[in-house]
Amino acid sequence: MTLYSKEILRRSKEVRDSEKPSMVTNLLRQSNPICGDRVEWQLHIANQEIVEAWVEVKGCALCKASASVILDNLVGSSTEQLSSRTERFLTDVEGILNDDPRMGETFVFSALPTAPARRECVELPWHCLKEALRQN
Amino acid sequence: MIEQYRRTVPALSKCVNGKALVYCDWAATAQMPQCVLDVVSESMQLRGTVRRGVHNLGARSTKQLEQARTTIANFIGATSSELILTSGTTHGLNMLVSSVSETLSEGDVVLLSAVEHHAHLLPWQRMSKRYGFSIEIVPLDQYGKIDLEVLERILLEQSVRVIGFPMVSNVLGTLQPVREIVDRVGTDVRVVVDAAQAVAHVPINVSELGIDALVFGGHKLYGPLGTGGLWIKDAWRREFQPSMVGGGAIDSVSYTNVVIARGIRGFEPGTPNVTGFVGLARAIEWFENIGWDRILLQEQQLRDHLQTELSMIPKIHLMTTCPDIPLFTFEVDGLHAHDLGTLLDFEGIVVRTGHHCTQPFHDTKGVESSTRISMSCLNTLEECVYVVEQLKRLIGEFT
Repeated sequence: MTLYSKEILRRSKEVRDSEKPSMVTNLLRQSNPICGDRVEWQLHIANQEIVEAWVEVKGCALCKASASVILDNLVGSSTEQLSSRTERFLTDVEGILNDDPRMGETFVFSALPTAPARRECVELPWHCLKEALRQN
Repeated sequence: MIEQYRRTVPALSKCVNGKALVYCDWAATAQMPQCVLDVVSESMQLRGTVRRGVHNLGARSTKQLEQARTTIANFIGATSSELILTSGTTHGLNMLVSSVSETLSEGDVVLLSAVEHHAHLLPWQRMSKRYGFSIEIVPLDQYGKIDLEVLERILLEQSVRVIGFPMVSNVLGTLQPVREIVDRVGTDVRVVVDAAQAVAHVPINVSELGIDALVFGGHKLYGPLGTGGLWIKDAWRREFQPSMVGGGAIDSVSYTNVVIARGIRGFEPGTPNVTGFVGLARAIEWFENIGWDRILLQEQQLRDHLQTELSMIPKIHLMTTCPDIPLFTFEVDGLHAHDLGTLLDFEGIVVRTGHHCTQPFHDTKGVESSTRISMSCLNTLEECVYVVEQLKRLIGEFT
């Protein structure tokens, strides 16, 4: 199992392609002070539903790939669904790092235990999203 | 020749990720020789608090501490009565800046270099807000040295009271012309040198340098974590009060007043890390046994090799091409520093990635994150060849 799988590398490039929302209701930037990774989410939320979403990641391949995973099925989900999805992802990362493999959205990061210090890179887009949702 | 000294450092024969360790993060922390591990272990088996009580264990610890202080002070050309023992560079700088700042006020200027480590920049920032003095930044020239022309202009235009800079930059590996800076600033400006990176790469003699204060940590000098030194010229130290107070650093105390102990003892409240300083003193003896001639020659060979090889790798952008020690920081087109750091780690190569606690400098260079290879006299040319080979392969594969 390799951390830099084809899937991770593909996703890290894919995240560049998202478009900015026509209207922004929730905006948040977060950074990792140790490495300088920066994530910015711009969301258009109406009636507790994600109508449009945009993310910019200035960071490593893992951080970008993680943001790309979030973008899957993001538009159209409710804020409640997104919150629980975020919690599940972060819990599953904890599981992976404690030798408890998970099959959900963290599957692509199954090799994370080979570089446990990179946990923050994978989690940063999710933590930023979580904070952005709190602006509602 | 260096192999016999490498063998005395157990970490250098270990494996990481199934590969032989190639340690290239000495600027972050140095691996310790066995003799240091031994003396630390021995010291921890029987201990007493220093300068307290009448029992023999206390007297033994006090003697050990003072012997260690002499060894550490002599290493930087100082006497033991001038060296304050600290928990590291950050502690030493915070102590010094907190104390000195009480003597500064609005209108005074503290000059710092553009490549200051956060450990030096942040204490001054905080104190400038409290006491009203201002901070000016001196830029570097194209060779990574303090721009002496700009320095002279600032000295003419502003009321500079203190100048501080890293003797060797932790990002650029460049050695500042300390004596030349001291001569330019004159006797009215106090000179504070952050020697965290210099101490294991450049012989230091504080008297010859003509500076006013020098700060360093022990763990970059092959000693234990939580050790360091703060040297302040006697005459300057008498001008300010210690920033920390507490037991062991007093002459007398009443419920309403205290008479702080004179000399460096007044700057060392609390129970000192005797074990750590005994370990640091042993590390210095081990290091001096290698000999500066051998250390400098080995490091020059490593630096020259890496300088030539790294400059020729396409997509690598070195933050400076002319470091004075074997320390190279760079960006790679299309490969984030963290990814490169992890990929190198998988090959057994340990490097540092990020902004290396110099975020403002990285920002002014437009660099978000960089990779740093920092070697010591214990690295070999074979390791340099392997590192370059892996860099070329990974850059080819992932960009």
